[in-house]
Amino acid sequence: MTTGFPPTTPSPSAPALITADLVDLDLTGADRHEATGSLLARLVKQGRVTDAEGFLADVRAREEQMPTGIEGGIGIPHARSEHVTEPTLAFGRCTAGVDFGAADGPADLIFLIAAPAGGGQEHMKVLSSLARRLVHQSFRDALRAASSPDAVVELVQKEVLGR
Amino acid sequence: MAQRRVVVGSSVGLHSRPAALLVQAAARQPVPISIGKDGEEFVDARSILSVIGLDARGGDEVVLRAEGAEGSDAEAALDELVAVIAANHDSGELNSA
Repeated sequence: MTTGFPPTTPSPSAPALITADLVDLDLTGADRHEATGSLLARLVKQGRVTDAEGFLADVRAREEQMPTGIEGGIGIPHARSEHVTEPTLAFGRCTAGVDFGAADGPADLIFLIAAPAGGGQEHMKVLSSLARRLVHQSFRDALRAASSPDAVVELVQKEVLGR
Repeated sequence: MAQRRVVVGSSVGLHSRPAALLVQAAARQPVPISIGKDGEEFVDARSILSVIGLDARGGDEVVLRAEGAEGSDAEAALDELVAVIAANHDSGELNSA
């Protein structure tokens, strides 16, 4: 499946994992597929995902193995997929909440992680770093209070990516 | 305090399905179990965020502790979780080529 895919070694010219264009502070969606699809449209627009339907199928395959809704109002749909060109993190804030299958209720903080098929373990590292921060109420509150997409990008770069 | 050491059997590590299976198994136990790596903070094995945050890879050794518990309940709980972590759940990992 990974043949013909160049190794994705990080370089100074590699696009940032998350940018303001990949943040939606007013995300809506009747269910998790709609919410994920809405965030995904931003990845497609940025040229980071080449086939939206193909990528969504990969996300659903992942969800069948493990619910991506997590305690504390968090949803982290994610997939490694041949339809992804750059490792990407997108964030959506959905005040109304979307059911991601967590036992304690709907998610209002949604992170979409997209990794290229040949991308090795890098996306697991991102997922782990993100999870370690999301354990803390203070980080979740800061995401809920962020006033602009740039503020979210800055917060994630500082807290999750250590930049 | 009862504890066990175990090497992670799934190559994907304690992520995705293996992490979910561990958390589910931990939630069934009558005693709270924490998990960690040597020299790092121990976290609640019932929290999926905490378990994913460990970033334990296949082949890594992790430590399970029955917090403040001794006796047969604690030993049985640890044995069950050791089995979940040591097992290779990779057959279900369609996405990890």
